[in-house]
Amino acid sequence: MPSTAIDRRRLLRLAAGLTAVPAWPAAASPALYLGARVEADGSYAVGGFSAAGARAFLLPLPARGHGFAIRPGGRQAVVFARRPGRFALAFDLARGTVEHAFATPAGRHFYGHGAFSPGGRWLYASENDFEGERGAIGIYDAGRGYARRGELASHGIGPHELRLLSDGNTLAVAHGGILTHPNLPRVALNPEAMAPSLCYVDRRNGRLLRECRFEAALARLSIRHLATGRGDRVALAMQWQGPAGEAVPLAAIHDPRSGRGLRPLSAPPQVWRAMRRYGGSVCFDAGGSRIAVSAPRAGLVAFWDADGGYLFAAALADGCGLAPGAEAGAFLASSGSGGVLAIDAFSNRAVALADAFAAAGRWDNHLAAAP
Amino acid sequence: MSAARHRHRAGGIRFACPLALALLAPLPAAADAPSEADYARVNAALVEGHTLPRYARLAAASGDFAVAAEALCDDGSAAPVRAGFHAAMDAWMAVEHLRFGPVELLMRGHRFHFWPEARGRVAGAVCALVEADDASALTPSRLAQADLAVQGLAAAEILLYGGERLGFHAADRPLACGLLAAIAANLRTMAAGIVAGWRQGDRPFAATAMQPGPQNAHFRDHREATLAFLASLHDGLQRLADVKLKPVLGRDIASARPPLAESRPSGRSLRNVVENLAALRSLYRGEGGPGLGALAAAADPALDGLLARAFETTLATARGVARPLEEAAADPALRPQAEKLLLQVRALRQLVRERLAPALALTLGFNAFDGD
Repeated sequence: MPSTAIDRRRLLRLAAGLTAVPAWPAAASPALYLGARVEADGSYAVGGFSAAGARAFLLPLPARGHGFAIRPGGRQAVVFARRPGRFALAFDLARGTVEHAFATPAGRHFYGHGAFSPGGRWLYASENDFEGERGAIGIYDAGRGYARRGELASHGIGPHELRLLSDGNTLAVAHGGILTHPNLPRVALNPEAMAPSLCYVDRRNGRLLRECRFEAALARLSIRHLATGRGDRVALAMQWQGPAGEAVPLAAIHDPRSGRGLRPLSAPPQVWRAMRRYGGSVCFDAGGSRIAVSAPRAGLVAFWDADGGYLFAAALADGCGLAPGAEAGAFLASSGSGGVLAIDAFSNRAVALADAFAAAGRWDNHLAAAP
Repeated sequence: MSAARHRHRAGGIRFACPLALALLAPLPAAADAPSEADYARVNAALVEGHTLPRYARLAAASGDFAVAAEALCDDGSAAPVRAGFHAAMDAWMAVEHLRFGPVELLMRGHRFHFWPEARGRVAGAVCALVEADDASALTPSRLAQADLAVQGLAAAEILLYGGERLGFHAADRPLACGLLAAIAANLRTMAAGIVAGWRQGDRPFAATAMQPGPQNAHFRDHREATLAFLASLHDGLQRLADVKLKPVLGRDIASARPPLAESRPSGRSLRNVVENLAALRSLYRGEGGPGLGALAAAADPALDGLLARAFETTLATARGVARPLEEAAADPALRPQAEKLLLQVRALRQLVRERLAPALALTLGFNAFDGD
């Protein structure tokens, strides 16, 4: 692992430092869930709904949406275009109305995810510098209408989901490692030279604090999504770009406070095979003791304990979006073919949200919980 | 499900209007979903009548190309080797939609035809290899370990059609010829490897596809193997629209981008599309046995009729473009036909996704097959 002792010490210090805003509130009680969706007429929207699945709002989007960043303060959130889109909308969480529309500059597109600084002023978004063939983290000033204030290097190819650790300064960035260009949407231009990584980047100066990669045999394991849990533990969901039929792990955890590298989660080989090479989203529960990873191609959501012990899988056709429920062990999981499932990872029970707004919605890749 | 309902649904769709298709909500799975025996019958026919013969033709065409390329280095006649290139390219386009099985191993798909590329990577890699002036690098076994970009049909095409533009000198000719022969021999090896992977060994992939079960690492039941064929159909149409057509056409004639056309040096971008479409139509109709359409016909006869017509219409539209896509995209007289082709391919894809998949009791969810 290309990480120096100084960087690690620095990271440890940062990670152990005073927390501006606890990334892990003791009593999380999500009142509102967000998910991008496709409507019956083929148009795209953001749906806001309660824990019971009842409609809070439906916000039309100009094209397919992807991930969300919830602005600290709980009043506003940002939805990003799906890659290689360039739009983002900051919207009011209570009313579902657009407050700012903004876009990447020329030469960049969003990858679909972002994270706010602890005070809510700065938004960091994963972007593609496609002419420079490098990943970027765009910086937008939420205090000034989301004007773009610059960018950081993401220190990899294909930055996708990113999250801020509890020190308030360290961004954990998942790099899919796949080179793409918007002229040829969704085509890998470096199939033999994929370089997926998990990078920790200091948001204040763009410094690379640490870079983690899988061993060479897993070099085609594209790291797309991540979640942070108790003690800044990072859970990863991956997509295997190698041949089918191999039992390759599609989820991993990393503890940035330790010196250890990436640790693929364990599961029976038939679970990995069943997941069909594709982990879609990853999420910790509100108590931080359960990890969920969705596998939409398999139509299942698999669960682990926070130490990486495999628990069970729940069936959900085309299930991809995940968000923590209010209670420990609880998750919401959404389906692209329609519906949202409430899953209790302690009792292994699942029940579909009955409200028609959630039940009839065709939900896209990700859900988010707004506190 | 009543025949009246079928007629009603079909009547709601006009194939030429993709916007109307977009208005369709997903339909519930057919009440009379195919049985495992139905899936098994179609899978066996698609393996034996569609997949194996097409890979056999790829192996034969690659072998002929290799022989012609060797002869080129001896007597310098370019016509037979160019014909061999086109035949190999046709054969590849006829299997390009099949993305599962032995073609996945050893990155054979990328090595066989490295496209799309960025920044002239193939031409650059070919030039670098020729200019390196190292004949020992040009053995088929060394080439198989080289940059993916120099291994396949796109590199062969540069050598056969891009020579003057690339500025090859007479002194380079033996090296260029040697590289071409090595590429063709490498293609012959890969095609033979794909055929062997399907037919031979302890566990031929044909058996894997036709004998699913709990111990089968790829397919737990026949339905999953049918899903692999349906995904091939869907993804093939998506690739045509999103990679082969739309980037070249752009939003309008002013934003057309001819350099993004496939196989530009040899001017066969449209021929590739026609070959792809013909292969997808065969996957649907079946070859020497039932295809995916047989399952559709049993579940929803009106849908089968609609899809059969849609494939014919789209293929006819493609042939009607008449000129390479890079020309058609920038020509005010030809462009409308190319735009019509893009719309029809997109509509076909939407039909496959929104109508055919549910009729076959299979899910092509937008997360499952269009994820991120």
